[in-house]
Amino acid sequence: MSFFKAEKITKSYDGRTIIRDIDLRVEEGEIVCLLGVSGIGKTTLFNVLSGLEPADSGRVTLDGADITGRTGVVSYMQQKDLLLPFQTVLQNVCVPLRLQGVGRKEARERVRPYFAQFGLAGCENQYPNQLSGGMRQRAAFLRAYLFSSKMMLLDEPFGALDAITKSQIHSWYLQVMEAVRSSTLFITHDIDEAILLSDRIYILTGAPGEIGLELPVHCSGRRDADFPLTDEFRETKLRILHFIRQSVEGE
Amino acid sequence: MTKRSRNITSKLYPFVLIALLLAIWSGISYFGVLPGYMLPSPWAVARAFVKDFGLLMNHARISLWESFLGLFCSTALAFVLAVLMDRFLFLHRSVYPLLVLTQTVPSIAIAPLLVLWFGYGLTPKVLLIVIVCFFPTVIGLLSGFAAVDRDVIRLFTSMGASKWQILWQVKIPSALPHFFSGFRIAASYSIVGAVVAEWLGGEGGLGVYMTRVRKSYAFDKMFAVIFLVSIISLLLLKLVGWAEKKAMPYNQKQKS
Repeated sequence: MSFFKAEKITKSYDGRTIIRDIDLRVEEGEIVCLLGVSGIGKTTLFNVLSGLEPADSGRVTLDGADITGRTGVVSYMQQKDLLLPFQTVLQNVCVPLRLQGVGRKEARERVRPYFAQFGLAGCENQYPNQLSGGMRQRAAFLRAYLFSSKMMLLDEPFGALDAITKSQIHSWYLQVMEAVRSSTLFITHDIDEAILLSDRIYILTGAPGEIGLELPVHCSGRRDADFPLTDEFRETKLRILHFIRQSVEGE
Repeated sequence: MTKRSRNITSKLYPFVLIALLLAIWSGISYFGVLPGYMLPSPWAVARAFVKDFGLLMNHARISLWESFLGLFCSTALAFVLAVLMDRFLFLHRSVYPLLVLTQTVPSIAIAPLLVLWFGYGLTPKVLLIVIVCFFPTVIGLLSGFAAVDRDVIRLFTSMGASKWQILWQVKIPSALPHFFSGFRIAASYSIVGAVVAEWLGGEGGLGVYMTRVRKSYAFDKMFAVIFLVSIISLLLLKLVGWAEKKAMPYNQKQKS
């Protein structure tokens, strides 16, 4: 049985169906990408999966437990860092622990060791507006990780970064994930990003959005910045592009 | 030119203008363009200020105490109302227009009523200040609450935060810059409010002093107390600015 599972999720707004019968699963420690053009309903799906919005129908389970419509179980990160400007990075990162009722001092002590591991050493006492966009996303990621490392939903987390920062943060992300290996569902509209970072890809197509294709990503070597230069990468990308072209023509 | 010296020069401009105005004013009194009892010379005003300094300070203490009480009460009230209005939409919809409406009523016109109802003691003064200072503070807070990024609230909700936690940890700290821009106005209104309330009678205060010297046609003292009121307003503004920096250190670090 899969670790994280969404079954037959349907959601509509004002009578218009946004997503229909979405089935997906994430195994323990797996990074799965959800690829699709903007406006296809990726974020709607995430709002349902994180419990922020109720689904019209369908079920979400984590580790066998039904978590449909429940907030506070899986962690959720967005394109915007959403760090509180009036708190230091350390305080921001402590937020999930503090919300769970951990004392201020204890939260700090528990959080501190992660700063080095997440490439944030030395930023503890800085305010978000003193950090670069890439560092802010790292801090936001750490906050999400500390909220729940079991299952993370990332909604275009690196979408707002420039190309150079983005490739840096990709290396950083792969490095961090090698160590912590959280089960992750990752939204993106960037095909290269999806192939580079994930073990498996779902492509969302159509209106209402449905899972059009599921394909595994094979990487026989190390997953790093050189991966996009391999044949394996190119073949996967070709398959995806081919599928997208077909589905566009089909409409 | 370095930044610092440029800063000093730009601060010099108003001082030059003030000196010029003072010179014109001295000229007018010196050459007798206006009689001394109507427009006392700056020196006469300064002399009156020094001579009555002790008395002025005593009255100032009373006025400041009233302003402080009024500001404190209005801020506390503003917080409570703003939080309630933010929490309950129907309250926001029904109270907001009323708040705007109260601002069209001139405070000077309410003051005599307050005296009629509450006598010559502290109550009518503090009440008038509350009425005057309440509005900018509430509006500041409300616009601050409204400006909070919805996604931050969604994120906190997704992390299981209660409405109460979101209020204390997100909304109120986020609203501080807006609050301070309203509170700054309230602080400068407060001392003027105290003086206006005191005009109508009382044991002491700068407004009472003002009425007394006006009735005795001591225009030099009149001017002295007017200047004192503006100086106090300026100092209050400085104080608020200082509190603002203390309350929001993160705004400072960005600039440096």
